[in-house]
Amino acid sequence: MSYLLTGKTAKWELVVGLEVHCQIISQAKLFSNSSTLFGLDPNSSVSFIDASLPGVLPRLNKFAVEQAIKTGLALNGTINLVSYFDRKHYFYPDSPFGYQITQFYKPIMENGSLTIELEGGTEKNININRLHIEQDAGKLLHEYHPNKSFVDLNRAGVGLMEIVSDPDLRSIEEVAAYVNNLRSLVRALGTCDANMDEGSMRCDVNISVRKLGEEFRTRVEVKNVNSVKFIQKAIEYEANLQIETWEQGLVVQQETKLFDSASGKTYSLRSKEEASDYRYVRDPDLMPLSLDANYVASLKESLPELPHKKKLRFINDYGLNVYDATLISSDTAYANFFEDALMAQDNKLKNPKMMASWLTTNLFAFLNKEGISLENSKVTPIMLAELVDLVESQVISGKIAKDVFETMWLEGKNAKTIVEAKGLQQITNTKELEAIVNQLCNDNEDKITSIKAGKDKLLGWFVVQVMQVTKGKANPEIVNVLLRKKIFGK
Amino acid sequence: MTDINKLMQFSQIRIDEHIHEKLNNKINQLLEWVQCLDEVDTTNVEPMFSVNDYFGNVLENLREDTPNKVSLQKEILQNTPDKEDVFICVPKVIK
Amino acid sequence: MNLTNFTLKEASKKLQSKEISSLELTTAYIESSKKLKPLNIYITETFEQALKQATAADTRYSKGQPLSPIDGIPIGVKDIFLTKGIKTTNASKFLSNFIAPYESTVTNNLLNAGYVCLGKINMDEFAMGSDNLSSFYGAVINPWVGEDKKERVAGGSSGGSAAGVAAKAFCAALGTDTGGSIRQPASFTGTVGLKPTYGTCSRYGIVAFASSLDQAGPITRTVTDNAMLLQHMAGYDNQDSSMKPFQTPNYASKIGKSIKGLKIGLVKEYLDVSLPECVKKNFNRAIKFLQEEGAEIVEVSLPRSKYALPIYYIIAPAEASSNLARFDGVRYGNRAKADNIEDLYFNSRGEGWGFEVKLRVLVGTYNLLHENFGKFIHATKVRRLITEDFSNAFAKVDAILTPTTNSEAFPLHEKVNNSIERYFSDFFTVTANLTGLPAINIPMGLSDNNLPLGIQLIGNYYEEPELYQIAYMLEQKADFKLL
Repeated sequence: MSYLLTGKTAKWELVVGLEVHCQIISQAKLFSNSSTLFGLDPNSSVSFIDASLPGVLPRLNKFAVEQAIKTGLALNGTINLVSYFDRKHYFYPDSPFGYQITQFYKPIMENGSLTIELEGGTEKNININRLHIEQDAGKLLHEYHPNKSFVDLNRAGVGLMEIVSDPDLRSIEEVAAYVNNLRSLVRALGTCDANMDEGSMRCDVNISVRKLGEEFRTRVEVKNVNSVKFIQKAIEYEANLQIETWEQGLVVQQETKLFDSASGKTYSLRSKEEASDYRYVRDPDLMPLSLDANYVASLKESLPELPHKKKLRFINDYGLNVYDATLISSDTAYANFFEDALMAQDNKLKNPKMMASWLTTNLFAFLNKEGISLENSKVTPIMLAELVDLVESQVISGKIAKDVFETMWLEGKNAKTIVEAKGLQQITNTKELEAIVNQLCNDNEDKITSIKAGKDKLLGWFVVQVMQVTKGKANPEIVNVLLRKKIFGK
Repeated sequence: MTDINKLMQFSQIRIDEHIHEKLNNKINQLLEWVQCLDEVDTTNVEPMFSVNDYFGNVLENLREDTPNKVSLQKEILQNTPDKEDVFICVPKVIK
Repeated sequence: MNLTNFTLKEASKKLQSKEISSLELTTAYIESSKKLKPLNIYITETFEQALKQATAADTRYSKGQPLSPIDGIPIGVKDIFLTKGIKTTNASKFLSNFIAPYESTVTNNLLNAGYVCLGKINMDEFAMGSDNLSSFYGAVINPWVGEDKKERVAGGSSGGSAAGVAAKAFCAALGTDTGGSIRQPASFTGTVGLKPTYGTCSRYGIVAFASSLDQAGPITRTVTDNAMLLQHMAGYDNQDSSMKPFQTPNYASKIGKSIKGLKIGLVKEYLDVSLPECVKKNFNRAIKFLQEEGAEIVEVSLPRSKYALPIYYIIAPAEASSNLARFDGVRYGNRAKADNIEDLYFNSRGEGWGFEVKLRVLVGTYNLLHENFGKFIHATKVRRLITEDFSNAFAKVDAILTPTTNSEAFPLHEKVNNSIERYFSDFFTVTANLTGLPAINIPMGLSDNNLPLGIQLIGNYYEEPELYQIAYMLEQKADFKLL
């Protein structure tokens, strides 16, 4: 099923490949021992190596390599047991060496893939060409001074994993799914926190268009797009621009562009001729990186359950619907909360679907309203488990439970405590309810006549009345049964 | 054989006009001289970027992931030609 | 008795026996250095600090607790080594105001051994050159003057270090060698200069020229001195990822041992190289000496050795252009006037370097361009072939004997018409850098002009003790008279 763009003269297929840069979670940088902490005083986590002073030499961080291997394995890639480090030369103030240490000729991982889910439940495999390790650049700040730009090298030298997909993406939906899945994956692994706002995950988008069945046409690279929304907008704009160009009989130029979020347009970078020849050459300061096959195998075994697999398990074992399964499995924190809550339940009639629903509908709503993350949730897994237990065992009704939840959130009290204090237990005593039903029916014979005549809707009125009398605590199912028995005799 | 201007651009070095010719001649002289390498047969020979390649040496003693907590900000900025507070300054870069 | 006349070994002994003090020794060298000012050996004198270091050494000697046999010995340090708190210029305008914020591993090792640093020594700018004429601080003048009374170059790029040792401005010196930059100036000045096996001395803190070729080494008056100094320079450093862990041997352990039965290789392909008569004569003398001491002369073939110099001039500039990309005037170094970022780079790099450096960076950039990269890779393959040739030779011999360079020291003011000719000065030396093998210059005799001529011994990997063993024997036989 392809998603086609309609031009003036033909239908066009979108072709997108992504190069995603993920900052490696590690305490120290890739080739030096300065800290990777975000938000420090400018130029305070910069070593002599990061500042590329004369005479310095790089030394590779073992843990950063491990993080990259784990990510490569999780992406089903082949880990190259021998890989090399190369220098990519370009001049820019945020690049202290005048080159970036990267892996051009032989990266640490090749031939991986990432599965994405599309609407309608279909799955698609996106091929990942390579994953390699490289240095991040420093930061240039332009707003602090009228004629100067400021250089902060705190970020220079932080390790990055560059994950390069094949141009397999064919729609904006696929692109969004790919980015989100990749985010989930690296976060689940703990190898990158994939925070696009903070820049720990950045995307370069390669966009081209073609008519169905054609070879690939020229692609344009849009660099450093830092949100899924902007990626989508950039693709939309650029693809349409390219279609216009082709349809006018002109040729799309291979260019590097940036995306301006304000205008929603892509625009060319000032052309730097020398930028097009990076003079990639082996870094003579670093010997090849050689990995032991057993070591790589043991890392593979140590991988946590990945989001995709977790999602399938939630659907198969817990019976969750696709939406809830996808959402909860997309983040390890959510999944852990969910499963911790399930485990904490007393109720042997555990209903995971109900728990999932409480989590995604109620808990998330409160988190979003207050703009806080799950780790700061005022309702813990144990507290939620207790509440769901009460609902599942029919001690309280679902409706009342919603109020109880709010109270739990606002006052931090346990569900049981709240229910007992407010006397919210559901009334299930048949005799008690029967008495109320009977009384109600006797007082409203005219309505009963109408119901028997066919106005079924009035049954609801009776239920509402019973609920009012019982302050919402009557068990609605039992009330319904009793009403029908009274009115219809069955 | 060589375009001095192109090389200047890639090397980011300003060379005065009056030595362009001298430089060009020297470069061409060198390039011509090394052409004798064309006669060497290197079929099936692996590149050697360092003697380490010759011996198949690989990286050892990778660094532990322990960050240095001491700021070197002062030392880093010590030789900086233009700085404002704790920033290194360059003429405004226009994108 | 002028204290500067003692070799490092002699001075060390006298310091230990408290016959002399480091303060006396250092003062003598400072006086000597001052008198030698016209030779332009120093870029930065660190005499005050040296006196303090000497005093500290004397305290240790008085307690009978010297840090090492070189404790208190005054040494000159090529201005390519970063020495903390001291200006480190690499003989360039670019770094003329650069104060090193950290200490190189090699000089740190020497500090731990108690050496006295007399100063930062003149050299070719950014270590590029064979005559020490390209320094921003002016040429170094060879203390040797030939019969024709012309001023001579000291060689390069470690010209100042070699000249200083020969002239006795200091007891010994540190140099670096990328294509012959220790051995050739040692040959021109009648001193002993070793380029150790690649990976022997840490490159951390040495301004990089060509990373896979650079190596630090000692320049001294005698072979024994050389081993004593190397002992405290060398050692595995995990900060240098191009070093393999290894145990430093006792470098002097084989000095004085007989060389009977050792096999010395003569390169068949070098026999036809056109050389001045005196160089040939000198070389043959060395062969004779070795035979007299019982060594066996064996012919070896290095079929691809003639390509060593051309591939060096592809590989070295290419690596240099990459290592010099960091010099932009942004974070350190002399920044040129510029209104925009492009000019900042272009002008700083244009103004900061002399002709030689710029030439090599341009050539290097050229070699790495995509369209020429195939040629670069080809050169690295030829490098492997040459290394194979040497490995094959070392299956048959213990060392290889060659002239160090093809002439006596050039006149200072000689016009060089063809720079390729000047490059041939490195013909015999570049192979040791390309292959990583250790090689040493030993002063052998004098040219017709009464200028020093040296010979080179190339050893097998990590076999410096054996190299010193043979070198010592040659030194004894040659009985070269120092200045």
